[in-house]
Amino acid sequence: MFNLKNIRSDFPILAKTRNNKPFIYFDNAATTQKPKVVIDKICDFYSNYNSNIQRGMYFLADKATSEYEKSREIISKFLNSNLKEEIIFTSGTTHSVNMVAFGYLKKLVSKGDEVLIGEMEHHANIVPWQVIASKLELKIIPIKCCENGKIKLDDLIKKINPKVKLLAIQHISNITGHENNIKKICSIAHKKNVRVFVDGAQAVSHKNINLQDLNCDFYSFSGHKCFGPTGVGVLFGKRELLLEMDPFFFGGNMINKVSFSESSWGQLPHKFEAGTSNIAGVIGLGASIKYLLSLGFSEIQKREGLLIEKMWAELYSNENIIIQSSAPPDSPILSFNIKKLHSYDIGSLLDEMNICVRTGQLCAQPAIKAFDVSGFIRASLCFYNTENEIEEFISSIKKIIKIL
Amino acid sequence: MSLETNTSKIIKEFSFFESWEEKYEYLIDLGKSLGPFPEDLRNDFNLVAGCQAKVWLVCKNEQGKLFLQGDSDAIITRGLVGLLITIFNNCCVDEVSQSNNFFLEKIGLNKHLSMTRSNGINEMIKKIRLYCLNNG
Repeated sequence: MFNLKNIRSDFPILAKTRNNKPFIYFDNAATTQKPKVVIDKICDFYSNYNSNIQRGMYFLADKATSEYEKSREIISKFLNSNLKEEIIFTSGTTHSVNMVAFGYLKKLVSKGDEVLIGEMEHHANIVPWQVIASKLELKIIPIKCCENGKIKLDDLIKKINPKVKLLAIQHISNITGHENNIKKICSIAHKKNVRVFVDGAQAVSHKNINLQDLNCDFYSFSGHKCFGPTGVGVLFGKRELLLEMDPFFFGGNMINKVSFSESSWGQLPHKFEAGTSNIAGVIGLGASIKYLLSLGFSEIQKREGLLIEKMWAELYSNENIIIQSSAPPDSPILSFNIKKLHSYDIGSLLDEMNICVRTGQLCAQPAIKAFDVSGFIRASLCFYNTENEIEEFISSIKKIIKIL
Repeated sequence: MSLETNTSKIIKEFSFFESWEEKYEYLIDLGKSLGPFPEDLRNDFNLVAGCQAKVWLVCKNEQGKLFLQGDSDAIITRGLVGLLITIFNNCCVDEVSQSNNFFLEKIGLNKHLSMTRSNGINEMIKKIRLYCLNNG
């Protein structure tokens, strides 16, 4: 059973106040708060077994390496990847996209080939492809999206041709909270021999990810958006593709042999983990995934479903609120505008009322352009938010409309 | 008009306010009191970079005195433009180029307006000072 009081007490920051009042944290799509088990796990590493991994022949290094590799196992099971070597630790989703863009794409393409990208992607899933495309003389073709932020499958089908080699797509929109049907998209793409890279940054904290079912070629996410530390993330790639892919960074842990005439790289996954990894971060990420699994995704989804339903009903029925999408989101992320008002003004006044939301272009300028707005107010919730917080948020919005 | 007189006037005004609502109300009114901004000046050249809202700011040196015109597509930011115009308008260009941001702290607005880059007030002040440095 989901005990909200206990769960909130798992997160030390939620008990903090500002101007002697509790605050409402509705910016979970930017980063989630951290449970004490994650904070403790990181402290435990630095306090009790801090050492470098993989190489040291002593007890501290053994313990650190084993905890680090345990995280890989936890994440491999969590994502249901075939092999734990398919889980590469990165600094986050942006790093993961860059690794595939700069290490793998060149293996697939020749001059004039095309890369498809959803028109409402986060900048991190556009710009790396754009930069490498200009070097390799490829074309970037945007796929049209519906008003709910999901790509239009008929546009995808229309745009796939023999020149298209890769599709980069988000699992869940960081603006609308709607979910792309990755399984179907992969099946369409694979039939035409197109590889699929999935940005899972907004999905991992809200739903069970089954890579065997989705069948995408690459999947990535950031630790800090799923209750883990900042500066750590994951790239999953199918083994045969990772074997083909070149490293993006060189040196340190990824090395096999080095001489001044040539060098060679280690096996998977080490080949992609150059330098000293974010060891504390990886170990903390393992703890955050364990925490999520202990709550259970069916309970999380039930709870978050209730919250977003309430939020949607309140906002959608308000005549001053403009929401682009006509159906409630699949995950608790909701972006909207208030008639005649700028999102910046709303965000500033919500801050005065101790409510944290994101406003502006949400790191997705092409999407903002497609929606034809100057920005959004985005409220992104998660299971530790409460019905009371939603009510206070709605009454604060009404108050702001009056002030402005 | 000296920068010091303008600043102390604003600091005094703000010292009367007890709640954030009053401060914002005053700021919003400052924005409303701005004259119409000429359409031909609403261009990319006059845009202040680094604000979440759009802010246009035009500086002019008229016989050693600074004259500002500005606007924004957001209400609070327009108020901030109004605040800066109240403070800097008609001051000696040389004086502005050597000024600092202490008034932001004094009026207590920095406690309320987060000084993140999305706010842009620092960028606006930077633009004004840079103009004064180059055109003094």
